[in-house]
Amino acid sequence: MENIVVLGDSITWHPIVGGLWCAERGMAASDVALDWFNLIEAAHPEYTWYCPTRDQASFDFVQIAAQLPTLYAAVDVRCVIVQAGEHGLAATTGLRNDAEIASWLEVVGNFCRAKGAHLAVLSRLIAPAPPYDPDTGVGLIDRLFREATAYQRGSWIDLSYTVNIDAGNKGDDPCNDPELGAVQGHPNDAGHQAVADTVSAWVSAVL
Amino acid sequence: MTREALEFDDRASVIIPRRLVASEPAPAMVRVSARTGRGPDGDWRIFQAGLRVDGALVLDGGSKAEHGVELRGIGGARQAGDFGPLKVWGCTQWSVAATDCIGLRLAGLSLWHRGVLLRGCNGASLRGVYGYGCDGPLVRVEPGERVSGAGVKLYDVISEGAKGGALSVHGASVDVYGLWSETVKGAGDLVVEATAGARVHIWGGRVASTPGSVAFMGRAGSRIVLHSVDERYPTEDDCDAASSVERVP
Repeated sequence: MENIVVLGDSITWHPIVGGLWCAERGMAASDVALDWFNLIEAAHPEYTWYCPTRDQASFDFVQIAAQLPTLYAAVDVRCVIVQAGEHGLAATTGLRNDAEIASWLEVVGNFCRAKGAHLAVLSRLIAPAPPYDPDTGVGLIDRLFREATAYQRGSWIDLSYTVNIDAGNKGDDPCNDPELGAVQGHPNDAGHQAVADTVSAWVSAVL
Repeated sequence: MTREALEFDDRASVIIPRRLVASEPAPAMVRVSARTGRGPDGDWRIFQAGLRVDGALVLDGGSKAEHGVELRGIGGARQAGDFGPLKVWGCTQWSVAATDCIGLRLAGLSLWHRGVLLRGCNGASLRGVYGYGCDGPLVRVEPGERVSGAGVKLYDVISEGAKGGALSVHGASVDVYGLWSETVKGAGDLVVEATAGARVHIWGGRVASTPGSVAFMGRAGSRIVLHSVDERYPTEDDCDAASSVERVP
């Protein structure tokens, strides 16, 4: 059986945090079986799926990327899928500028090349409003990730239009807790399903 | 000039010497493992050499060089591995110009201002091609003097605002696996141009051209086939009577 590693942010897995999120699963799915990682794992049983984000109980994808060689030293990896576009140019993560985006993806790319694995990078889940402007805002983040992906010889899986959480797939507080504030920046069940479907189609076509 | 391998390792920058880039006979292999390469004139020519770039090669044409990298006769049995990653900008003609490179493999291209030309490069494959603001096509494929330019494969091509289209194919056959094309500030509406009996198959990806613009243009008996390509906005095809654009769900 071949192995696929999924490295992500809070959309892939998020711990329980008081006042923020009430479950250990991809935010903002209403059930653990309905987050995109579990959906795609169920859709492709021909692969063994690893999620260091979940297994390390952390979505610090920058730190985990550096640990990949250690975590999977004894595992033959066919593909690494990374999902962190929402944190591009964020003030509080390790991807605060173009150099940090490129460096982080290079760490993952180096791991892939050492393993002979394919690299796939997921886009953000928000469609740019036309006209597309690659120099500011959402468009700039997309451009930086796209360029870094190509440079690392990876595949770009664009979810911006197919998921687009601003067009009906926004998280809607599945924990039923009005105090939770971050869910609306994350996909709801339909959004998670759309992520899984798009990535699944790529897995079937490419791997 | 020796025919032994030339290696540049562990340097902050590399000068590719003129004797290397324009000599005959050329070295058996050029190996550059440094982060940055700068040529004497911003114009590199490597003839008849197996080429391998282990680290990133960053070339700044400085708006003077005709081509960032010019490759001739590289590929096939001479090939030592993938060529790339590679960043090139500021050239006046092509960031990468490859001629008669049978079986050439390029991977990890980040190209600004100008794209890549494959002339007579049968069986070439490019994996991971990003272009931003190219004043012309991002990838142009055409026949050489002796061969047709057939069997070129492109993987994950990302074009943002290429004025001459993401892909321009003339009399050659090209398969594209993943094509992402985005209009930028009014440039890049044209996605694929095919002429002179060209055959272009595109498998997956997304096209976001201005609604109503011409995204696909076919001339002189060419054929463009889109396999499950997400055309985000309605565009028009521009084909002559002998050419076609087909869409396969």
